[in-house]
Amino acid sequence: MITSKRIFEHRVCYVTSPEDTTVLIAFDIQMESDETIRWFDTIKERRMRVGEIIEDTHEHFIFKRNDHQQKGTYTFMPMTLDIYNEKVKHKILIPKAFADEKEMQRAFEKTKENAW
Amino acid sequence: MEKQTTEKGTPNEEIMAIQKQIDELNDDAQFWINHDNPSQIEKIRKEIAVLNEKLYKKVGEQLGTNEGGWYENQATREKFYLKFYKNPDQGKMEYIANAIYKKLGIKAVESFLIQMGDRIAVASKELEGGGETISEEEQAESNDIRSGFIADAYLANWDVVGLVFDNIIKDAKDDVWRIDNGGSLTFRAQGKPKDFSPNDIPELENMLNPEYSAGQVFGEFSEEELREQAEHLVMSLTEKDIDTIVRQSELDEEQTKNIKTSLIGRRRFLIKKFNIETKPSERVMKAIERLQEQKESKEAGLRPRVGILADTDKIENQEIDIIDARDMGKYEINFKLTEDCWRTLIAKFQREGNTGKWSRGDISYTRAPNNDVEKDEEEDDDMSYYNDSSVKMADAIVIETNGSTVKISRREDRRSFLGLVHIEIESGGKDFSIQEISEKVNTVFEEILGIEQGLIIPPESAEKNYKKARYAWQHKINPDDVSEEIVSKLERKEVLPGYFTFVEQGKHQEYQSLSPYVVLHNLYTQKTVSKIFKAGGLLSSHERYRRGLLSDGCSTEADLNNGGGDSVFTRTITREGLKSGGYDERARFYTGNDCIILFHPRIFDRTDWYAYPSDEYGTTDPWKFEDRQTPEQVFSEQKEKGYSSCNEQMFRQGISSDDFLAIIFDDVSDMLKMARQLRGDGVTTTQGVPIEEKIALIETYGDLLKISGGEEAMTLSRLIKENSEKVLEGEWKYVLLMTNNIEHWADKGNAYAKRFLEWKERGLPNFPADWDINFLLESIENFSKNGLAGYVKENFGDVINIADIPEKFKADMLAKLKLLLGSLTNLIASFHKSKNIPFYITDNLEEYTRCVKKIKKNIAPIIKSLEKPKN
Repeated sequence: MITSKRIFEHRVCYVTSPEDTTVLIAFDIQMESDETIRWFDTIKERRMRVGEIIEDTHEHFIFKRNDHQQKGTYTFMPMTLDIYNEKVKHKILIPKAFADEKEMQRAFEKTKENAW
Repeated sequence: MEKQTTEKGTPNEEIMAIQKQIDELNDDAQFWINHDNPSQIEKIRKEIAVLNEKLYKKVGEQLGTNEGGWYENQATREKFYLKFYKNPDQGKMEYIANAIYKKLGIKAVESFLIQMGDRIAVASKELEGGGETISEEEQAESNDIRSGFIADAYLANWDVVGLVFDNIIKDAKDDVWRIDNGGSLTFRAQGKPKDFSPNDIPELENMLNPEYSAGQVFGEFSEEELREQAEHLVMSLTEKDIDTIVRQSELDEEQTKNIKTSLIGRRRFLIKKFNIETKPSERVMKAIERLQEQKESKEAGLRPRVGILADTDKIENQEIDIIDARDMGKYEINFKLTEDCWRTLIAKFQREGNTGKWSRGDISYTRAPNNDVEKDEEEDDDMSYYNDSSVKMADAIVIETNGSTVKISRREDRRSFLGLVHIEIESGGKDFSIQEISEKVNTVFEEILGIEQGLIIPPESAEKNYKKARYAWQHKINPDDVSEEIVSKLERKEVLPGYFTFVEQGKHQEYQSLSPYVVLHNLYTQKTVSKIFKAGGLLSSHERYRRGLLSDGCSTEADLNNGGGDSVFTRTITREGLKSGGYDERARFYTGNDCIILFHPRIFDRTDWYAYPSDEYGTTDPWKFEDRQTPEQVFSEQKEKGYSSCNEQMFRQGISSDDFLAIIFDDVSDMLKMARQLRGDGVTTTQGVPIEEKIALIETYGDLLKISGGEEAMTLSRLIKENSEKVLEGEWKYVLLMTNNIEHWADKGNAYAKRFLEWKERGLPNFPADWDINFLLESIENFSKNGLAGYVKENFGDVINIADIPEKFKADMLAKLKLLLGSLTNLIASFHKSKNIPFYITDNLEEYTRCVKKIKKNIAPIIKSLEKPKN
């Protein structure tokens, strides 16, 4: 049986991977009991097999992927306005400036309605 | 007579040599046919005639009235029925008819003309399994027969079904064939001549007359069916094709001219009668007219788009798209050049240098009108991103011409824009006709892009090459290895409104024989589903952006960069994969907060999808793309390695809502919400059925497999009919949930009170902690101050009207509320009665008492509203 549990209390995280340039934003991160981690990335659902959890703290969640030939390492950290402005904004299709994190979060939330 | 085969049944060398000689002579003959040299042709024919008598051996007797019999080619062991007409021209006419049927893809016996000694015969290849006659009714139901009516009328094949329905045969694969077409063109079946007018096709009516056998089989056709068949004929059979086929028939010069005139004339008659567009500019014109019909996509915030077939080998998918952007005073035309063609074009511009003919600019997409109407009420008015209307997508070479702007993407790192050409044409004022726009498009193709005849319908040969390339791409083989049989099975179909691709009809059944399977797509909010239905299906993000549905939020550009943005993503579950992955089919399948689209397995008939066994974000980067899975590998690798929910399949452009089997949920309440949402948004039916028939309840993986395999789903319609109690419980899920909560709080209150009192009696120091008491009272207070409806809306997002709650649910909740009030009284009383009450209670006793008093005051109107009888 697959059950879901939230691994981060933070609604939105910033994701990086030296081996994978397609990751950037993660919403609703969930770890499933079949060792799959899933999240919504503003466009679509991402799903990866977790091979090894390297770090699991309040600041970071780092795992090594184990999907066929894909063995990259992925790091999640809570999305802050600073991270957004420095590392995310220039990779957004329609980049916005936000006054606060609440506004930023709402803009990310809105992507769900356009995720077909 | 010399023995012609070895004992093992293989042909001997002499026979093989004869076959080879005939093949070579036929090649020579073809050369002279092409060079119009009758004397050479005649000479070669005579040589072949002698050899044919050696190669073909009679093995069966005459059938029907014309002289003939079954003959076997001793080299290939194939059997042919050879018919020797009294008038050899009738055989040639039959050959023409069969060749045209073949060109149109209609199942008619394959034939060729054969010179046997001094006589000419029509040789028709034996059908697989020999074939058997079928009843008139079975013929009438056969799509193989019905789909060829216009061709039959066009060829004046009066006797197509035979006087006693014996000219139609079914082969071993249940395919149904026209086997005797000797009554076509200028001949009646018995050999008498008939009129074959170039200016009219009276057969369009006559052959539907039920007094004749053909009319009894064909019955009736709608105007649309006839138009579709006529369009297919016109597009698949060019005047050049007619010329080639007629010349191959070896009719004499005068007959050749007459038959060609009639066939070409009749084709033109169909074009006129059914108003079929054949000129490039006419096709653009028609497409623009069709754009006006798309009202629903506008409601979904998308600009209307139509696709038209184009070009031969320079435009990807042989299709260009026209977008109605008249809200900005223009039409937009988009297509992708093949990579080679694009690179050549870019290099050409760069080589020429910027001499004023072109400039550097960009391709931008602009938000469509009505696109921001769904702004949430509670959102701040000053959220700046609603003002953004245009997004730069790619650097481009820009060429301005008379009233049109051509933009060629220069961006290589954004794979979804590789090869993209974006043409903007002013839609103009009253004096600017669609005809002029069409001609402008044609000019851009020819003069700027150097694609001559870019707007012609791809001819058969180009289409065939493309079919091979497409199939080879999907199955990762060499195009030369794609067999003719496969090519003949591929059909270009409109799989999404305005988008065409090749489809191998029935291929999904082959995949199902490898393993039953399920194809799914997750959505994150029910709000999206109405838009999807209005748009005609799921659309790729690139398709949505270019049609003006620019995300209001903060979507990343990653999917456009790696090419996945051109596709819609699905996941596949195979039964074999579940088995080897250790999943039990009876295990619960959770949909959670998502709503999931379950597709018809036939979407795998499409040839424009690719797959990865794990999440690769649908990349088309060559280094990774070569590792993609073929369809067969999707099945074999799941079987071998087990199902992983991380697998992905990418379908180009989108998936039509006609291919949605159901929107699935694991909860009745969510199903009801979905139905309400869709109906509220004006989506009441889909595929001709009420929307409730497309919303289904799924409990296990096995349910998914069953529905995908064709079994009836537990739809909302069915639930309403068969299990109204479950529907009612679903409808009032949150009221029932609240009733349970209230009961739970009441139990807790009583349990805490009991512990304080029991301590006095038994001396057990097992007090509830202060945070237990605080949490309980805070929860109840939060509920009581919001009221029932307020609490449900706040916590579950559902709107309820208390007056509408069914009486039995009201009664139950009332009873639980009274229990709760009793338990709170007990709790406060226990604090007073307890001899050794802990300090954290005594310290807060006043606050607890005040809180309970407040709760009771808040609950009183809730009780009153529940006790109020329904009007």
